[in-house]
Amino acid sequence: MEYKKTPLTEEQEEALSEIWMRIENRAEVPQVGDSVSLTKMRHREGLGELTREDYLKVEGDEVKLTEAGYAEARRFIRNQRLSERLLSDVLNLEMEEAERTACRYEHMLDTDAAESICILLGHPRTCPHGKLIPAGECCVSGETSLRPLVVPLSELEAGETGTVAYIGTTDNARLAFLSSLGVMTGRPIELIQKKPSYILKVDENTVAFDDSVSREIFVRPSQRKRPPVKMKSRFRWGQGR
Amino acid sequence: MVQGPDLVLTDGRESSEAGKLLLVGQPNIGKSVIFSILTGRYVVVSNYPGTTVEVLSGKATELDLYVIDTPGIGSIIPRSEDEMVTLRTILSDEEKSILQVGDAKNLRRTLMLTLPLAETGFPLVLDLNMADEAEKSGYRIDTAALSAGLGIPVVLTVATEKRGKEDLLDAIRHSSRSSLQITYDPRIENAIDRIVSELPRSAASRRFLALTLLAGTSNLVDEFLKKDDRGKKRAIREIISQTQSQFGDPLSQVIMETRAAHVDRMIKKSVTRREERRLAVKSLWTLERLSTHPLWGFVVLAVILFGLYQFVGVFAAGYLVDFVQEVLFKGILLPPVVRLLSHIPEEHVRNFFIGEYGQITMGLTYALAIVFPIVTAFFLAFSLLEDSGYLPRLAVMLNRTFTVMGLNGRAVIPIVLGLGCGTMATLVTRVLETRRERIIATLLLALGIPCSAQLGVILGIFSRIGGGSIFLFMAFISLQLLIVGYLASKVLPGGPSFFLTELPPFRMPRLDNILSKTYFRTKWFIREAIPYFLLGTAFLFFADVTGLLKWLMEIFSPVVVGFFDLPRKSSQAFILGFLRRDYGAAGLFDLFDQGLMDGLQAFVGISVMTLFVPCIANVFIIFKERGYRVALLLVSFVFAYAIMAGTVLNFFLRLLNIHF
Repeated sequence: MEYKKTPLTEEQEEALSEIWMRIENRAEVPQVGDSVSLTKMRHREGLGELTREDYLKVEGDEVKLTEAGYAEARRFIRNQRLSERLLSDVLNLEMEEAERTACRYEHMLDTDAAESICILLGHPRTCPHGKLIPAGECCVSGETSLRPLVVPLSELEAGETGTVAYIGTTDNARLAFLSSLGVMTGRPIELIQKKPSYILKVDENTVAFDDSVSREIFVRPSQRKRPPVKMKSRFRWGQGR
Repeated sequence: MVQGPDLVLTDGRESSEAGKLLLVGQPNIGKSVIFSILTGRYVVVSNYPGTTVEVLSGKATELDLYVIDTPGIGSIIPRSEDEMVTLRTILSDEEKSILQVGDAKNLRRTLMLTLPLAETGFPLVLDLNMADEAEKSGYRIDTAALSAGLGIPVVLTVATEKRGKEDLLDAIRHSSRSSLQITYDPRIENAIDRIVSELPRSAASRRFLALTLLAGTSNLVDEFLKKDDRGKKRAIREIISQTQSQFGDPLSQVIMETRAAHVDRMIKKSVTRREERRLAVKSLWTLERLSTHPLWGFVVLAVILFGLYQFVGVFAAGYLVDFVQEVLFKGILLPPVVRLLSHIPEEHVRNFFIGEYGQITMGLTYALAIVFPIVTAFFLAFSLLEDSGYLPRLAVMLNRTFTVMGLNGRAVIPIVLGLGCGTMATLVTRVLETRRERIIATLLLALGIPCSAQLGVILGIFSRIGGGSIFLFMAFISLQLLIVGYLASKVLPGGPSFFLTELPPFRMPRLDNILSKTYFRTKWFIREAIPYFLLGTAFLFFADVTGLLKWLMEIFSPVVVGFFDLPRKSSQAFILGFLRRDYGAAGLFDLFDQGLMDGLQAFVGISVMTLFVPCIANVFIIFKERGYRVALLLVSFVFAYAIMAGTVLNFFLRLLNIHF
């Protein structure tokens, strides 16, 4: 689900999700090409831009989801409902407060973060209101162990690559030493081995260190270890319910 | 002693008229080679960080400058004592220019140091060394663009082949203050201004000092300001913590990131990479991976140790010593000399030279016929290991074991250097980060790390004793090190420290460097050791004549005979061991050779000698580096422990009826 277009604004995301929910209210599972009445839309600010960017098509009074619009709406709805689940189930917020908070940060979630939440919650099928949560890659592959987006180096397997997210130390001399070797935010790294000591390759440099240092270097693993997911199965959702 | 010539420091000829040129750079990039090119002085060059731990100086032959070589620094913020030495030298209150030696193929890292050096305000030249390696890995560096970006001369060199020397000399003559001005985050800039107003005048720019304080550790405040400036120190600390509170990340990270962004821009303008190429030969790279592999790494280590044993123990201590001692000395050289000197009428004078404790028959024979061939072989093998880049990999393998002793992998280098020379190794403990680690490392070096000369003799004896005795010996000594290190780590205050080091690439050792290194070290050995051998022999001679020796043996014999079950005569070896352990070991070697000791006795004797107090030179350095209180404690502990461990060893060997 990668789009090279400019990221959507909050209004645009709200507009897409409104369309999605209006379709759902007709007791239908939204599909590409489904449409709703333009005059009934509450969120209209982003519609013009969405049409120009080819997320929507307006035909008369009908607003129709294009493929891109469908995918975006689906992604956003998924984030929103996962957020509600997280806030109400895990953080035990009252429904109303959960909704309010979810409203704020559902816009900030990216797909990877949403997957992590989904795995954490055990791939929930519905939101607290009983609405369906569109399935993600992780639900299809049935992943059960949560792997956060940013992990200490000690969580990486030997041979894995990634980029440095941040260095979690307050020791300035160590920070300076590491950054002089190129171990700093945003740099690609390769973990050569973990035993008997860690060996890390950055640019032309090779650095060796022990467990305690490995827990201070936080990285974004580049290939997350998941079985490959076929495109066709990706959008099956709500099955067996 | 492995790095003997380093001990010959500043030669006091410094004149104040000639300007100073400081060599600064990251470790293991060839500063020392550049230093010897500029000054014509030989310095030991190796393939691991920490070869230079003291400031060296010499007159540049083709420039009117005094060149000062400094210990390599990872970054401008010091992590250990040797790095602190470099920062102090940079900040010293005199005008100077700086020559930064950097790794051409690792420009990002090099420039991360260039930027703060440019900020010091001293005239600066950037020498990108190892240009051949950079070229081989596909980099093309546009020095003109880089020079324009930094506002200083930039040259490419291949120091080991003296390529680019003329360019370098030319650049040094035209060194200039960098015109580069980096602007940091406004909050950092604000803090810099406020700190600058608190700092006294200094040769280095105050902006640089302020930045170093902001990015550095709090002890730097004490370093930069006079003792009595309490108010200003407090003010500066206040500014730093105020500034820190405005950022989520540590200040050093904020500053480094600004520099890194700047460096990246410069690299984009001046470097192209034709193709990604792996520098090292494929087999070398495979070996690199194998050498740190959790399983194969130990196989590699075992192969290396076996090779060392074969070459030094079996070949040098066996065949070579036999040849030199029996054929060359006893067969050809000694007879005419002895015949000549036997004409000396006075008995004591005659015996002084050719008697039982004769300068020639004992002192020179021990030094030249027994120790010298062994040591030369060891130096040769050790130089090969050093130049290959294997030693830091050993640190990776042994880190966990070292944590048991309150040390970490970083201490592997000083400890392994101790196999060369304990004296030099004690100096190199400066690369360790905490005082606790330095004390433990010094203790272990003094206790159980035999120096090259002694090790050679030991290998020689064990190859003659045979029967796997060498393995038992290694196990016994390792066990003692583990026990003492473990106890010391429990007794000394402070917690465990972390292991973090860089690994230099494996390099194909250069024959000329190995040979010249071996040559200089052997020469150094002869100059340093032979006087002690002669002095020790002279002492024994006079002690024998005056009856002191008898008396000393009387004192020692309860221990030597009673505890260790060794012949009375062996106490003289232990007395010699006070002066130099290799001399002591050579004494035991001789006794064993003459059949005065059996294998078991030789085993116990050598084990005790290994644990015994280090040689006089090492004791001096321990006092100098650790202070007399710690030193006194260390030396007397080692003495007592050696006797105790030797007694226990002897008891158990006899109890279990182990014979060789």
